[in-house]
Amino acid sequence: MIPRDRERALHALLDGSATPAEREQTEAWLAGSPEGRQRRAELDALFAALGSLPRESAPEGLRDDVMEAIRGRGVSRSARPAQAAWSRPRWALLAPLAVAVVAVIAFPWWRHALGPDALREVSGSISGAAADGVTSRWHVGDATVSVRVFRDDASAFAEFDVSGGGTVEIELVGAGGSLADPDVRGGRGRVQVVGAGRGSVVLRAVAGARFALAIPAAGEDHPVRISLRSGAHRAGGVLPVPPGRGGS
Amino acid sequence: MIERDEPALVARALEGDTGAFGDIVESHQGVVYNLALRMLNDPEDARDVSQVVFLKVWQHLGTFDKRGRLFSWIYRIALNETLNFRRRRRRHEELDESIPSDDIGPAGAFDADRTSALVREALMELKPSDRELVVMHHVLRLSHREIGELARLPENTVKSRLFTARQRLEARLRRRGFGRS
Repeated sequence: MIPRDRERALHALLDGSATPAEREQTEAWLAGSPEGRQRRAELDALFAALGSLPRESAPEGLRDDVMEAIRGRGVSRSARPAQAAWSRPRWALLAPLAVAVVAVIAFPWWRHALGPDALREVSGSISGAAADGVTSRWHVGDATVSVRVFRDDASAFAEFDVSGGGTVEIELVGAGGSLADPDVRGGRGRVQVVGAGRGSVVLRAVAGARFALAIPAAGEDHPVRISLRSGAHRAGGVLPVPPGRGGS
Repeated sequence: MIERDEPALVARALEGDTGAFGDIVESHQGVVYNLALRMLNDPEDARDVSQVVFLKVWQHLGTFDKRGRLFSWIYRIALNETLNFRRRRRRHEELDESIPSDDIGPAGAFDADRTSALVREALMELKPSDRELVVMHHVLRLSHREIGELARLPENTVKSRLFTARQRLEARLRRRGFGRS
């Protein structure tokens, strides 16, 4: 068993952070320690394995997709700072408060998580169905999911039309945290609310379903990302949302 | 990587020059995508997260403190989006089918692809704060000092936490047969 300080010294030697003096000291120890050399060989393999993770190129078209989203959908600027990761010390101090807040705001999601709705039939007309909107289409497995986002006077809606075959899991994330209590309207077909939280909702729909979901705060400042799964297949991206009536 | 005067690009992007913003995207998309890829272990998810990150960068560029490093600011947004994505995903996800069984084939039979796959799997078992450090140092090739700036941690704390994270990763790799002779 290598003492912990020797183990640290070996890591420092291998990741290049050892000072010249530390390096000299560690190498002197290694020269007289078969156990140390054995451990060094193991760590060489570990560092080589870590180095085997390639740094991938960004996917082709990522820049173009971003620019298209900005130009084509008129994504506007916000005066609010972007939410950056909290530093850990602050997080630690605020942890008890955070737990209490999460317990309150997570309630709607837990309600669904503990007892998700069963696949149910939806029927009836979709409010605002005649309104214009922006339609996008996604292929996932055997299914095709068309999503038309439109607005009426009060809100935005995403109208889903699932065709082809199979069952599709649809996750929407974003919309300014307005997805806590999903308002699914018929349509036709079979739809299930799998879960919902402050910033996301997961639905499951069988091919043939057509329904609408209110996404009240969706807009340029509150983009909505859609992820689709059907079996092992996945698709998704940022959902195009028409500009608000104020033209903002 | 596009090498240009970044403050000038930011200024032009703030004036609405989408071409300048495109150059900012080009400069930083590699780091953002690789961070998301190694934290989420899913190329499609990583691409989606990267896209959302740059939309947020565009939306909030006016709040960027120009005395700071643009890279650090974008990185923190990317890390936050990645962690939020994973938290949301975990709520709904069944057990990941990609987690392998103990049967790893002939002892010592590790080619480069297999080793890389094992490391990716073991990484996903680390807690996010450990995984983040390993990814920053061993994938993004950031120095301890750079990691300290991004994570707002003293350099020695970075070294210490990285040491612990590597030990945890090694333990998980060994459970998969890594290093077995």
